[in-house]
Amino acid sequence: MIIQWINRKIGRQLMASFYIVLTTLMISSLVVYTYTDTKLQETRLKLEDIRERSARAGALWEEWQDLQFNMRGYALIGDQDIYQKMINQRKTIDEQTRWFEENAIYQQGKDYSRSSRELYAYYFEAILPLIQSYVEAKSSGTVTESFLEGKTLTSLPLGKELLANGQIKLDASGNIDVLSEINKSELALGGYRDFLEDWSEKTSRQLEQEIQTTQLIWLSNIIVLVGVLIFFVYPFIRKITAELLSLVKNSQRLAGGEDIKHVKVSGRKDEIGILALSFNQMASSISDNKQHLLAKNEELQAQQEELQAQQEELQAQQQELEEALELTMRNEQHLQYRNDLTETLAAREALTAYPEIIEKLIAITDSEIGALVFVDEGSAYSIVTHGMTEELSERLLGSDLSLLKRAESLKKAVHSSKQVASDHPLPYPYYMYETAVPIFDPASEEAIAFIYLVRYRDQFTNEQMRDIMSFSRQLSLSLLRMRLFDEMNREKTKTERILDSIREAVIYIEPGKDEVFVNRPLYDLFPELQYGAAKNETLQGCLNTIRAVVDEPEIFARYMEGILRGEVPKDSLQFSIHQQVVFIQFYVETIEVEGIRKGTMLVLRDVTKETEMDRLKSELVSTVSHELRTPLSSIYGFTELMLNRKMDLSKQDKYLKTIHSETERLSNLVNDFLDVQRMEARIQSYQKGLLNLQPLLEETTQFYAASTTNHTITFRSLTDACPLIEADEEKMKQLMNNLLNNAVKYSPFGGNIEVVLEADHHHVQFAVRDEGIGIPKSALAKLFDKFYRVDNSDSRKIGGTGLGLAICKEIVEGHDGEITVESVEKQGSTFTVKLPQSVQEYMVVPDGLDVSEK
Amino acid sequence: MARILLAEDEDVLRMLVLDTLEDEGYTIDEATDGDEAYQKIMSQHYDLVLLDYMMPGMTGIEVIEKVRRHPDKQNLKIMMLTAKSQQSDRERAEEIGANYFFSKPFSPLELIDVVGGILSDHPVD
Repeated sequence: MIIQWINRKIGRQLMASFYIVLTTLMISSLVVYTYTDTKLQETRLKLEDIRERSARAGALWEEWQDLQFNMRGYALIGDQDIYQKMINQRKTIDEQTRWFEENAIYQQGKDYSRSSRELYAYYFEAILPLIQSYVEAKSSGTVTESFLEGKTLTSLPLGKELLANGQIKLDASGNIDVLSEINKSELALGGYRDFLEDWSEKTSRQLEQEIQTTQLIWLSNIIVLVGVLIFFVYPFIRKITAELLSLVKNSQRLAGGEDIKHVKVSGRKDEIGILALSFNQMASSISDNKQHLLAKNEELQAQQEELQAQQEELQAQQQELEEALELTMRNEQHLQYRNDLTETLAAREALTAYPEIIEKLIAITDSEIGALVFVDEGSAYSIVTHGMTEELSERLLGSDLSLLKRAESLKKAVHSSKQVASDHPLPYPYYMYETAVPIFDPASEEAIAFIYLVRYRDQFTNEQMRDIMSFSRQLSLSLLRMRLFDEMNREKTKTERILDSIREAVIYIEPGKDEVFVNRPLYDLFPELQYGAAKNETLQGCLNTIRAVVDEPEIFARYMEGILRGEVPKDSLQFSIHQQVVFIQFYVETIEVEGIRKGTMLVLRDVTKETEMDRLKSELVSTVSHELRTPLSSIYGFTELMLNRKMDLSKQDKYLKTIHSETERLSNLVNDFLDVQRMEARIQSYQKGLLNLQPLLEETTQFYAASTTNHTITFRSLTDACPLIEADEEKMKQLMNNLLNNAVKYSPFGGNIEVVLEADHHHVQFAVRDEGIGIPKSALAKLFDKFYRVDNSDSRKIGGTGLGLAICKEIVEGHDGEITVESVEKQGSTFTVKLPQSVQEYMVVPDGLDVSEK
Repeated sequence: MARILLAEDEDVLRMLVLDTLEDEGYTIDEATDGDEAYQKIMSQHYDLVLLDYMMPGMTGIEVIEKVRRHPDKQNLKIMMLTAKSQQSDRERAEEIGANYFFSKPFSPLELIDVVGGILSDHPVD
């Protein structure tokens, strides 16, 4: 039962063997332990016994020694106390000797007890009574010696008796022999003691050996058990592993698709047994399934073959159908070509359609090659061919005998057939059938073109000829239409060009149509509309794009809404786009044909320049009015004070001087302002002529040098002969005056002013350098702006209109030159004017002629 | 007598106003630009400030803006002397805290009346 239960699980088998080994180990250990313990106990008892015997033997011996001593004392002194003590000792010795007699086990112990008994008998039965009688004799005065003499003792009556009985013996010297008995006993004791010691040692050694043996046995027991464990468990595991491995291999084979009939099972009832059983069942089940599937598969294959057969049948049917379809399609193609051609003829509007027309004609009529020949003005031809060689076309057009000429002269369709040589496009001789059909102008009955077709195999059938004739008539009409269309196109292009050439952007709309017409300038005005983009061809697309860039789209949209409703606003709309970068004027014109309104023209005019001009003008007016008010205020105020107040002469004088200088300032301001205004409006015309700057500069320098006392003004030329420039002399003088005047004015503390003239290959340049108050860096950029005045405490004390340098700049730029300034504050400024040399200098001016002296 | 600060960059105009008002007995202090005017307003007491609109450095408007940020200068009377008579400029100045306006070119006699009116709290419009 239990064995069966164990066999059912590998774990149980393993545990069972483990438990068996463990139990055996425990039992053997217990046995060894108990045995060792007993042995130890025994030995201990033995050793104790030996120790006791040894101790007792020693004690007895000591008692003996004591007795001997006491006896001697008694013999000497005769004290009764000592006697009594000896009596007591007798009892003790007797008892101890008896213990040995009773308990001795070994020979030596028995010897010792016997010798002790003998000694006991000798001492207490012979020696002690003898000594007693000696003491009595001494006390009775019979014996008077101080020391005991052996002879005295033997001489005593008891001594004589004892000697006679042989109870005492005499030694060699004639004394009573006491020592030999004692020695005998001591010898026995020594032997006993040695024996006991030996015995004790032997016992200990024996114990040690026994324990070692036991340990060895126990150790070997363990080794044997481990061995058993290894030799028993290892094959057991090996067997299990081998069986599992066999199962694994079989499973792999099974997984690999092999048929596994049966795996041998070693009659096991544990997991491996069950696993093997299950595996066998599974293998057989799989094998069954496989067979079943194979059968199914065969069945399916049979079905598939059947299906294939059906499919082939279907394919055959389909092919038949396809062939029929192809035929239909061919017919349809022919029809399609005809329709296409008709359509092409009806719809095409330009010469580009001709190659297509001839190609389609060839396709419809089953021809090989062909051409359309047009009769141009003056009996010249132009030809559009398909599949024809240059040679063929030349022959067709050039030869007087060609089919074309015949058709032209006969004014009807002509045919020809001829055998062609074998070197022709076809490798073998064939008949070549040609036909030339004239196309007449419906109005004048003149041939305006010909259709020329060639085929090789067969003649043109009647049906094909009918096709050709009918196309010739269609072609005649289309050609006419094409001509009209071309004319119309030319007109349209002309109109477009005209509209493109005007400056205004135009959008032409017609009521109810989303299509628009726009001109080129519109794209220039609105680059967002991208030329050619499709969305611009619709009104909404166009307007949405424009609206997206308008700055105020609501106003634009409102204006547009009215127009789209058909209103024609009287006032134009002005709006800006791209954040006021471009300003546009927008107005509407209606287009009427014979009193009927056809469409509306939206006109957009770029008025950016005009708007900018307006803005500049109003800005100028406001700045100028401000500049004018200061002198006007002072003149007005001082005159009023003078008129209404009484004042002394010096004050009157001061006021008058102020009024005078302010009037002068006003006058200068007006003059400068007019200059600037003229220049800006570009109405300033320069009276340019060839001019040498050197004498002019020298003259001006001299004038200023003479008019100032605390400045040193000098002129220096770095060029030998100053090249000529083309310039207005008066304006050059004004320029120099302004610059020198500034140099003096802005050097209030005097100093050097230098005018330097230079020239290179292309330019003449002069610089005015002063040592005055200079110009702050921040002011340099705006220095040439109108009404700009450097704003600091130094410059404020110096009057000016703020127009002088603006005028200088206008003059220099009017002469294609440039004016620049370099300055360090509180150190001085240098103004440099660079002007281009005259290109005609050497051609026009003879050597040595001074043109400046006009 | 009332103390008046006159801020004007044009020498002749400053002289005109100075002569006109000094003869009427006012004590006149002068400033030649905006920065100087601001410094003086902040450091001294004036009954009236005459401020030019266009001045180098700080403009009249900027001076008013800065002055009015100080709580104790809220009631200072400021009159703008301006060549710019456009309505939009006036509105801006008024918003910032200018009390009166006087347009250039002006009549000195009229200026005397206006200043007198303002200082006696019966401004002449």
